Amino acid sequence: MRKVVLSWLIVGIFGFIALPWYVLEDGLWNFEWLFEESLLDTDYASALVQNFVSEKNWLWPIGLLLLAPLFAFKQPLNSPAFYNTLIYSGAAGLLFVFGQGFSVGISGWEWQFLENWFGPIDVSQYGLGSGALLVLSCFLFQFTTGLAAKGVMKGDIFVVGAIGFVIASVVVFVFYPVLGILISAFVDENGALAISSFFNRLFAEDIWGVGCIAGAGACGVAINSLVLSVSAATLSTLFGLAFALVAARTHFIAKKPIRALSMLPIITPPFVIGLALILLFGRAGVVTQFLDSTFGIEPSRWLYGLPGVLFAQVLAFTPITFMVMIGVVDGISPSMEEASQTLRASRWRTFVTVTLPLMRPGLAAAFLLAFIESMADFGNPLVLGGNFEVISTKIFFAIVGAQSDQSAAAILAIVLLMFTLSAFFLQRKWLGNKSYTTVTGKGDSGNHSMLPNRVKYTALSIVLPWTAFTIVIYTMVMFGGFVETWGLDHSFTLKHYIEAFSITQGDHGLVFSGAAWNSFSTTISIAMISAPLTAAIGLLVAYLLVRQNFVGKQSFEFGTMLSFAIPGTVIGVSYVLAFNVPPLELTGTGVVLVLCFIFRNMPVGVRGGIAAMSQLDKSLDEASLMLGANSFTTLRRVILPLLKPAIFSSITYGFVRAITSISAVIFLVSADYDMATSYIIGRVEHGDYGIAIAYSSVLIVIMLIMILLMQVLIGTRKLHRQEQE
Amino acid sequence: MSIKSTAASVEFRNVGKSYGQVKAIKDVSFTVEAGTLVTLLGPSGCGKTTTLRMIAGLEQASSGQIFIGDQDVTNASVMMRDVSMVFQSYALFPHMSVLENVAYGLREQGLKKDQAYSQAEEGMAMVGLTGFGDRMPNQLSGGQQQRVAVARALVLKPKVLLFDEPLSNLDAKLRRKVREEIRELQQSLGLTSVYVTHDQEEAMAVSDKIIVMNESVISQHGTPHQLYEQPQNTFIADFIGDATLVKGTYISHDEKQVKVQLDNIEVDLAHRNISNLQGSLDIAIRPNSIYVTIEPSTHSSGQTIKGTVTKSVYLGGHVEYELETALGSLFAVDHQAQQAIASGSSVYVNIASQGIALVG
Repeated sequence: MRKVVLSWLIVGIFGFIALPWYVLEDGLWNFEWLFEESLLDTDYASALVQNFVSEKNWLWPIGLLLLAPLFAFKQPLNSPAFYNTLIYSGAAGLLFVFGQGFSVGISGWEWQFLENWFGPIDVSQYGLGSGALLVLSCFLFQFTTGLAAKGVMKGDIFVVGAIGFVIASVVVFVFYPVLGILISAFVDENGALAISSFFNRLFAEDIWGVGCIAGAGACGVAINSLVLSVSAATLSTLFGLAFALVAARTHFIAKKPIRALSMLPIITPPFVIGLALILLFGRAGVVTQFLDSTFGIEPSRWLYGLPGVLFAQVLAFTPITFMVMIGVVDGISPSMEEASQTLRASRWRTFVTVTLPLMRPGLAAAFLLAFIESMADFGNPLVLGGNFEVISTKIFFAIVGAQSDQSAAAILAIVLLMFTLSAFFLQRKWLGNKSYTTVTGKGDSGNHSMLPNRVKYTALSIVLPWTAFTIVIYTMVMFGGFVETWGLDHSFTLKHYIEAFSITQGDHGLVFSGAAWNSFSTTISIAMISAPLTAAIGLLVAYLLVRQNFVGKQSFEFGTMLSFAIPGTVIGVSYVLAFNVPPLELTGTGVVLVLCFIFRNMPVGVRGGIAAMSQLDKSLDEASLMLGANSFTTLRRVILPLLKPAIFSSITYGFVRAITSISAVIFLVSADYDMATSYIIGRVEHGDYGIAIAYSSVLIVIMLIMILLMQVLIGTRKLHRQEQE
Repeated sequence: MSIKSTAASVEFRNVGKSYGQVKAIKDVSFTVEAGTLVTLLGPSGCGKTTTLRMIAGLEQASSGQIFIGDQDVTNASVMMRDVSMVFQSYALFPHMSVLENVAYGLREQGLKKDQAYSQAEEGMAMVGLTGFGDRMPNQLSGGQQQRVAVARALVLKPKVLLFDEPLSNLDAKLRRKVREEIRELQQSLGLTSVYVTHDQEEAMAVSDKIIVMNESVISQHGTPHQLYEQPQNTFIADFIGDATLVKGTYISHDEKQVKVQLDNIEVDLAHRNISNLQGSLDIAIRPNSIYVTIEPSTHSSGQTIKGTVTKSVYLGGHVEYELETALGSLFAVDHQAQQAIASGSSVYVNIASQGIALVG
């Protein structure tokens, strides 16, 4: 334990005296400060040096707090003198570093009352940098080590540290930005508190108006969103149910391809379906043109608006609801249905009185999931919305539009959050922890009853056209990139691919001259960095949730799952607002993108980890502990090797999500760090469909390869095991 | 390999454990002498496994103190305790070979690889698994896996070796053999062992002492003989001896014996310093001390009452009867019977007085 304290002490002091205290212009990996004679320069100096050269004498206490553990170092480990010193110096250090960061900003004091107390200062400080990061980690882990010394979590340093780390990062990267957006909704342009105008704007006509129902004017965006989400969720739940029934309860030949199709939306950037619909049903679309030339039906703009968005969303979300429903349909114990049939119920009666009621929680879960997805969807409304505005797009235009009205965006974000959080709460309340329970297999042998005919044919009549249509759409996407100009000139060309991905021979070797290379390489590298980190923190949280018991575990779980219910647009806006100013200045860097992906995708990693870890017998961990390994070694040598498949799939998921995600990303990209999806959306907005489609299909193919590769990796592992048996 | 020297005693002083409102253990105190095997016995949910896990350090006591040797380990973490455990599921790491499994703890203690492996091989030899080092756990039979688990625990030279229902995953025949092996190993190495089971026969077979737990408290603590012969309460009489409990009426007593009226017969029972001797008393009658005959018995000891067979089960080696008598319903086992007496028969029930015990 002393070793741990000492190591963190060294880390902290190194951060304090050697590394730049403030964030550097060119990012974390700029090492210019090492080479130039700039160690004394205000921009590059460490905290210690800052104290001398730029009169930032409020940094002194940080150094003292860092050294505090030395005073108690000789005390016995379980003495109050030892652990209290660690706990209090750590906590005080954390508070002080953030406190000074929030108090002194770019233009001196951030708060009027501080200036009144201490007098004005003419020193400015920027966001915290790498030195501060180490100092903060030191304080955090001294604090948790102190708690462990006090006997928290049976004195397990690693577990207490891990809990502290997860809480700290969730607070900083989920709660702090979201709280920030809530607060910014309450202030006017000058930063003054404005409660009354908040309520005026919250209930404004352009949000809640119902003019369209009365037949006069347009509806508010909240009403639009609500109508869209309820319809999209209802339809995709019904379709998902139909698919699940066909896949699980019929002998239909194409069951396997249907399951495979359900994978597609995972690897499809969210607006691609919308794009394909434009190619089919837009004014220049194939179907539209065909109807025009054959039946003389005038091309119209019917697709642009509620019908188009709804169409695209149902197509995109049905596979998601299918995945929920298939789990539920498979999970129903066959003996229930067999019991019903032995009690002389017909197939139809069995289906209506037993099967369907047992599926109710699944239906609710699927509905709420689709509801949240639809509310949060940004790509399809942007591409297909036309004059039909929903909350997520309106937020976007409030930020990037002409007037750049942050507080309007914040208000809309609150409305959106209200919807998704209510759905999230409802879902949790409805399902409780049931979503984790798996079929044990005990006493559950038997055969599921087959579907009654009317249900079977209804389901098939939905599934077959849908499947055919999906195939058409993806063919469209794959071939759309090879066509000169869609709808006008269907001659074969490679020009879109050349424009996007050309490599030319320059003076100094190969030059990646294609327009897409910049965003492409950024996307891939950001995805490669964030995917393992997402998997790591997801599994760590899952480990803590499944294997450890601690006070406040429920809130802990809730906190880590919360970002699931926060729409990407809200995350995007809140990150922009929160991380644009000191003490955490990250906007425009690659770091903010990585962080955004980690915390957006963490809930899925956590769920996957929980599911996998619940299947590992807990006595394996205990055996390792009893054999003298600590919990970190146990995690490393016993749990992780056994969780390899879960780790692989978690990394794949994180990777794929980082590539396909758009709603949060579009706020966070910058000239240096542009992402593929935001680049494509930009092209779509200019009507530049060819390159957009070409780029999208490249992404889809890359992700498909990635997934197949992972499948092969995991698959061989399983083979291996069977061989041993 | 010397393991004996490290064996230490285990002591619980008024230990309690609660999960929120639920009390899993209430005020439990006992001592396990160094070098002995003590069994925690009881029905499921009685708190025996929780008690074992508190010795291991996998659960923390809510109150009271736990000592291993003369060291207070109440708040010590698992790693600080020098205790090993054989798990019910064996908990062999499926991704490591047998040798790696056995060497795991040695490696964690900081031993070099070759040193750890040679000690691990000694440990495997001790349980008769020489040459199995390269196998994976799933290539072994249940009994072999169990021995790997024992070897893995033994090589660390623990102060205390814990067994959590180690036989429950083995088939009935193997169980008898393995429990004898465990007992032999424990005695030859002089290990302090704490053993959890719900099977009273298994407990009788392996233990120096048995701690019977029921509803979160210790019901009785003693040698197998004491528990069988001198049940202190009706639960023990029922759980250990399968005895039928009846009410008898107190007649008189002297220093050695107590005279009790059972229906129409009088019996003299060992006194055993029971206080509160008056009125109605709890009497335990063991099934194998009851003889059932159709003709009036000529059995030497004991006395006869009349009854009817209400259920008769022929089990090859013995016959089990349920009898309706003036004392109430009695459970009897006849080990000598050639043929079962049919259900419904009127019979004479002879009770040997050494099979009757006062409870208390």
